[in-house]
Amino acid sequence: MYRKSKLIFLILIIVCGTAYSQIKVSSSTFGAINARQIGPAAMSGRITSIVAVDKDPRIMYVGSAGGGVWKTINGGAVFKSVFDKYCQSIGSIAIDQKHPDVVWVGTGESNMRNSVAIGDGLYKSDDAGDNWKKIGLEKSEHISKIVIDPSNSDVVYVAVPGALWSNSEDRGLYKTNDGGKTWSKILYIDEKTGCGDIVMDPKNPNVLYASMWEFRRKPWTFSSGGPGSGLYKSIDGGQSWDRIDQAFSEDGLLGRICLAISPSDPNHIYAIAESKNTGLYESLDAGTSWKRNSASGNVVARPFYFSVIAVDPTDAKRIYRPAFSLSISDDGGQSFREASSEGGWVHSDFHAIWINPNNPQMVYVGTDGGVYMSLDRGNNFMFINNLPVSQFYHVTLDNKEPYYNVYGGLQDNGSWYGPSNTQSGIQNRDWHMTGWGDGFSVVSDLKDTDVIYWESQGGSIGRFNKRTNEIKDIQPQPLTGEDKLRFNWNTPIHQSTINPGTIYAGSQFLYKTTNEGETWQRISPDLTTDDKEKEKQEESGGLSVDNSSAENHCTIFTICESPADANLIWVGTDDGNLQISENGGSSWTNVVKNVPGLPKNAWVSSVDASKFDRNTAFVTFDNHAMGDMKTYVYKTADLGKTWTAISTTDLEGYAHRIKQDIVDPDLLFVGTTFGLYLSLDGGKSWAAYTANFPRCEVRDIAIHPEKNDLVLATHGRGIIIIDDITPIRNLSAEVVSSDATILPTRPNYINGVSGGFGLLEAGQFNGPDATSDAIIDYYLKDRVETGDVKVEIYNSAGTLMKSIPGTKRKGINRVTWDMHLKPPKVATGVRPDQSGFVGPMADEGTYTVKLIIGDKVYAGSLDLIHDPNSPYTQEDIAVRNETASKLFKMHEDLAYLVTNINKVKAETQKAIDAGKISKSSGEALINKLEEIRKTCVATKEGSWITGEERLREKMGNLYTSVCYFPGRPTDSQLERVGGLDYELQKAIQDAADIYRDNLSKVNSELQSSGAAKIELMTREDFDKLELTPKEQKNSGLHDDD
Amino acid sequence: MAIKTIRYTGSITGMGADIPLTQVIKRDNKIRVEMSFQGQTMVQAYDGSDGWFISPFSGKNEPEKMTSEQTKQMKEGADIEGRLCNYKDKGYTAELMGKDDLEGTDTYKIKLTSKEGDVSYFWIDAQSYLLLKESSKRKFKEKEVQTNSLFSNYQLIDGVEFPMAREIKSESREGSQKVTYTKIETNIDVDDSVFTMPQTKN
Repeated sequence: MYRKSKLIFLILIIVCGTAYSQIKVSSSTFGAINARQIGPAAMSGRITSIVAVDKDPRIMYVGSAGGGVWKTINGGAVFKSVFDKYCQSIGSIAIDQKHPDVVWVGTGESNMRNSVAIGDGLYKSDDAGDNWKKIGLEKSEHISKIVIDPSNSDVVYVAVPGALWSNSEDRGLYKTNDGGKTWSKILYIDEKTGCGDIVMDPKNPNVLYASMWEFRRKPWTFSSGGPGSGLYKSIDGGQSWDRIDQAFSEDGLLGRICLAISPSDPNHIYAIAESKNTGLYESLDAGTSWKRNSASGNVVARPFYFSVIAVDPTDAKRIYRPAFSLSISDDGGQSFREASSEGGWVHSDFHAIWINPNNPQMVYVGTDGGVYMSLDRGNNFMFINNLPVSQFYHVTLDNKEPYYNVYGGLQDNGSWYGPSNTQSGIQNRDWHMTGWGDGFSVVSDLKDTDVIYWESQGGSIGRFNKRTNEIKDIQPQPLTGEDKLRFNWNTPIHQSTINPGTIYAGSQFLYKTTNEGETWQRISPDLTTDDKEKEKQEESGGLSVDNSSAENHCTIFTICESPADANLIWVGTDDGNLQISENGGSSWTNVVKNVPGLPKNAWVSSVDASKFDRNTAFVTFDNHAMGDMKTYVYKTADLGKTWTAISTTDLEGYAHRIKQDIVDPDLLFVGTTFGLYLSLDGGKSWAAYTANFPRCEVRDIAIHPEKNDLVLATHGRGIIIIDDITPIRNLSAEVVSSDATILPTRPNYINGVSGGFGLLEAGQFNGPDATSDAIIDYYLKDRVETGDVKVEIYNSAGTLMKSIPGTKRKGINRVTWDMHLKPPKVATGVRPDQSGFVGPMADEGTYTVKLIIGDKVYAGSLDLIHDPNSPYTQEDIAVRNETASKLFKMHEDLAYLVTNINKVKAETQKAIDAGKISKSSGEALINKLEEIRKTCVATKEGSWITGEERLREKMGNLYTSVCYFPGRPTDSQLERVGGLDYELQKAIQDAADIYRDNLSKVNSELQSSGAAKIELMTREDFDKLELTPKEQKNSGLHDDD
Repeated sequence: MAIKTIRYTGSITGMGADIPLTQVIKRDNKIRVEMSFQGQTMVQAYDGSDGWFISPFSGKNEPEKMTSEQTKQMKEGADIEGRLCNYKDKGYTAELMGKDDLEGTDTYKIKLTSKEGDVSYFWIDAQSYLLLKESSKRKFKEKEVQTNSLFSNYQLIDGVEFPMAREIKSESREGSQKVTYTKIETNIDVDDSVFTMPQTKN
């Protein structure tokens, strides 16, 4: 029987093979599963540009190295990202001050460090950032400056350093005379030299100063400077140029030159010129002659990385030098002092500065750690806490309940962990730092999650203990006689899936520890090419030596122990070796030669060994550092003997990471410099994930095994979580081709600890939490425009629990149910009572879900499961439910009572007015009923704080308290139910007495005058009522029923 | 041009409860919206020149005047045929921004700018020409608020395609509010007085 069914299955595969082999999806398929951007903004990230509208500087745009463009209209109190759909690496922003709604953005940061990301051209918005269009320079890769002619908005100059990793003709100084329709390259030296900076004479826009810069990076070295570099001046709008840098260097060799022109005196110019003797130069005669001023440390620091100098808008002698720190001079740069640190530490590494032209006291700076604002000319700063442009390199997770933690390291911002969820918003204060420097891998020991491994640049591995705050340096040391250890800038630390607590790390050798780094076992020979020509980082930098470990090469970059076999280890190196050991490191085989179509020595950016099959693995290569921006993604099913390229034209950008899903082997995730991509068919086709997911660099991917969340480390938009990928796992070919399908989701837990609160502090970033509601996901092949869509939930008895209007978009739709029953009918008072919004918790069990689209019904189910981590017993919960039900019923009894009181009162008044009854007996009835009503509900008009509590309000407080807490109510609360019920019964009895005496009297008078009696509404009729009785019938707004 | 009044009856989801809602629009530029809850009725109305509201949910049953920003929004809602219709006569400028992908659906995106400079966007299905989405950014004092409305469940009523469902999303919050209409009636009799702010007791 088994064989037979297997055979049928095989035939089905063959028959359906063609149709089902490829699941072609698009970004819209993932529909409403919006990614959650949890930040943080605690450390923020590298800022590249700050500009503001001159006339109203509260309107400000901030460009970041990897987090796009952020706009504020209130000086920074609230920032919104306005560039999510486009490349997130920002080089420069410019506002057309004549038409401040016109904003230009050059993509591709130009602080040319090892980790800088490329851009894809120049963009322009005509409506203050609402809409953008690409307007040229697509191949520029890096843009450093945009300058707009203040007298003619159509004239714009763009400084393009151009490609960092290769020769290119797409560099130099560009100009448009028609607002970006056409461009001409007006200053060009050669394929190695781009334009580093440009400034314009604010009083004469035809006078321009432009610095040209020769530079190049390779994976193992950087060179700034060469014969192409120089400073040029034009007095005719760029038609002709004179070279004016003779004073800057004795040997004629220059590197990067940054420029500033004094707004108050355009002949007064400053330049920091990189040479073998870098210095600050000052010209008082528009560049004809130059005087050498300060060459103090911060002024001449890292010219390739710190390429900004600024002059005060009103004082030509006051200059600012943002570099490692912010240096300020009041004497034209002869001497400098540092900003105060009284208010606390301001992040080092400054790249951007904006000085308010109307009030030079106000200064904003952009650093490797976000934006700071000063109101005293840059002396003391306040941190802007709401820019989540943090640049993670890696991400790992732990297994903490109820919410796991996320761990990762960041560019120049150390190592951190924070919660994936909090129920009160994930705020900066929820994040904790475990280590300093540049951070990369941060790994929580899954044998003891309080032990955290972290590192700073160049393999300085540390161990932090959350319980004790102990930090210990545990970097592997060279053995006697061993070569110098070469650790990558971004050294891999990897934890075994099979043996939690087994940790690997790599230099040129692979190491393993099973005792928290006290002992490292070297388990490999040198796994790299050990090419001595690529190990000269001490000579790196060009004119200014810059050996920060960023160019360390011939190192191990990625490690993966197979989740299917702990003895099977994969290692990838930055110089293109792909090594496998099948015996825990005793012997190694380099399989990279088997990979077809791969350039030699391409950087192995990630290896992901399959948990489903030990012979299967996925690898990404990243060759961008050789100027090759292609996406290289491969799969092997025979331990590296043969490889299949699985990248398609759907993928964009060089690849950082691949990860196979841990449940569905055909579901693959790839992170590139331009976003996150998914494949549902094992790599035959791919689609970008764009649901609240910016086009940012995705550097690492993790999947939580229990929660089924996909967690992304982005280099510029912090941590992004896609909650519960179960529905995506179930997007089979069959589902995708169906008109509509209800998709499974992870179990919905009830009765767990709920609550958690915290102030949402003003000015802080607040990362959203995952919903605690039950999720119902369904797939629609096309948008539903002409039929209704609703989701109905029924209990096992077939009773309708909830009807939810459905969304109708193409792809996955999501509606949520708060897992509460209908709220009670609440007595009418002067204002609504909170109880009318709160229904009792639904019971555990399986519910039927009906997706109704027009006249079609699709069925599914929904499980509410008792939270396994709930501290409350079934007994406690039963008491809670019983109490909630009792109070629910009391609310409805009271509502029934008050409805009748209001009805009788109104009809009696009518009878008085019509002269059908005596005023005295009518008013007696009305007054007596009103006395009761006043004990039942609050009746005083006024604000919320009348403090008036009557029976409804007292019951409401108790009812909502009981409903909100999943466990047993307090004894005091339980006793209170009885007390309130006594009051309720008394009111009911009092009303009955009045009906018996006074209403009877009124009714007999009505009968005497031949009118109909006043009848009480029956309970049956009341129960049939909608939540709200229709009132105000005279307005014409309702049917005349 | 035959339609003089429209009455929408339905409900809006909010805070765990479905709140009954009625909305009446009368040519020219009159609107009244009512939401009822626990026997209290909230009213928002605009009579062609003034906007006002009664908000018993905050414990006050007296009508109050709306701010000019709120009034502006009511005025937009009071346009019975929608602002795109005869936009020039109404003083708007419209720009076809081209095709746009709206959650996987091919649409035309239109930018509509008022005389005061307020901008709205409209996404119209490229095949059915039905309005699928409207997005408006409004400055309230010092705050920019963007609201998006998605329209669906179109039904032909008295010769006009009406969306029976509307999903309202604020850019700053997850989730959305959903309005479902159970009945849409046209050319019912409505007295002008219901749009006018009642005299207060004092």
